[in-house]
Amino acid sequence: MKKEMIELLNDQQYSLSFSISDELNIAGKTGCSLSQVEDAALALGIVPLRYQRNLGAISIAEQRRLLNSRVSVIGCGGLGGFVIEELARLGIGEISAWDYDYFQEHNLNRQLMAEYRLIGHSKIEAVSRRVRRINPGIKFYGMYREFNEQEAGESLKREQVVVDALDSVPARLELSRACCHLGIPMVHGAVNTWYGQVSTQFPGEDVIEQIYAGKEKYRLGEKSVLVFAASLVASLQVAEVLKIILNRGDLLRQKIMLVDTLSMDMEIIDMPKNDD
Amino acid sequence: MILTVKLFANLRQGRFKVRDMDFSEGTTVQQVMEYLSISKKEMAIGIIFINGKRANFDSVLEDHDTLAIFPPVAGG
Repeated sequence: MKKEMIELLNDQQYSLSFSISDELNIAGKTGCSLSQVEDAALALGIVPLRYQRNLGAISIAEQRRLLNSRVSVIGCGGLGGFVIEELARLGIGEISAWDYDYFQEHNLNRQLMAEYRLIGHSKIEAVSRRVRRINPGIKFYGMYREFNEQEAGESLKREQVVVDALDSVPARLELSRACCHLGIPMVHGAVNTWYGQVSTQFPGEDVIEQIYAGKEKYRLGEKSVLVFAASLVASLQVAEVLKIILNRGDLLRQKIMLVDTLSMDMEIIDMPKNDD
Repeated sequence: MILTVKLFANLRQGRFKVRDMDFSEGTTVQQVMEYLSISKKEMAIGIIFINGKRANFDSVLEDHDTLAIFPPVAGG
């Protein structure tokens, strides 16, 4: 099956243009999945057209690494919708997403996946459909449940990176503990009104504890979130995910980036590990 | 003594981003926050740095210190 696929890939002039219909054609002839076809193509230096404009910024080998990566997004609201959209377009091979909620009208101001006709529908179903439409090669796992530390162990242990797109302090502290326990890096993002923050925490680090411990009972800020604050913070989170997977660039480890779209500035603050 | 006070996010609203301010010797972080009319809740949430190092309400400020306060957010 794989040999046949490689022969088909080598026979054609795909190095010039390898489209989704070519991929589907080979997958249909050989019984391989789209991700297997893409993986074999990238290994031969053939780049699917959908990833062509990623190249230059990243290499063919790096695109293949993304295809063989798995990322989990916890929360499919304002941040999570944009994060998943961007992970799918980048070509992350496996994406899991957690949310137990349904769309409500007040989600329409900022949540990418929210549409008027989907009010009352599951967020996970909407995200799943969206991912399939953007990139049918992606393996998507919808976790229709509320995040909690106990369940996380079994479900998250295969993830390479976890994205914090939650909306409460206690849940974030639980996620941070779970990721530290499982040895998984976590990319944190949070938003409120015009403002946002981003940080990356590797196992053994403590930025999330420093930010939130002892604040479980507080509502931090207003209920309002403007769409550009959400999309901006989500994009910064995805950039962190990409760099973790590719082991490139600089990460916001033991640092927090504060984003202010009203004053139009960003500042990075060092938050060294608290050894006390 | 002169302090540089830096505020972030919604703490800037009705106040400022960064300002040099004159306070008497021995002023604490809490006294600066009260002077700036920062609410008790905002004080409880805020993360405080003096010259880039974590500090708290009781920390006593010294001449030419930079006091930075950011209120973390938690929406998604």
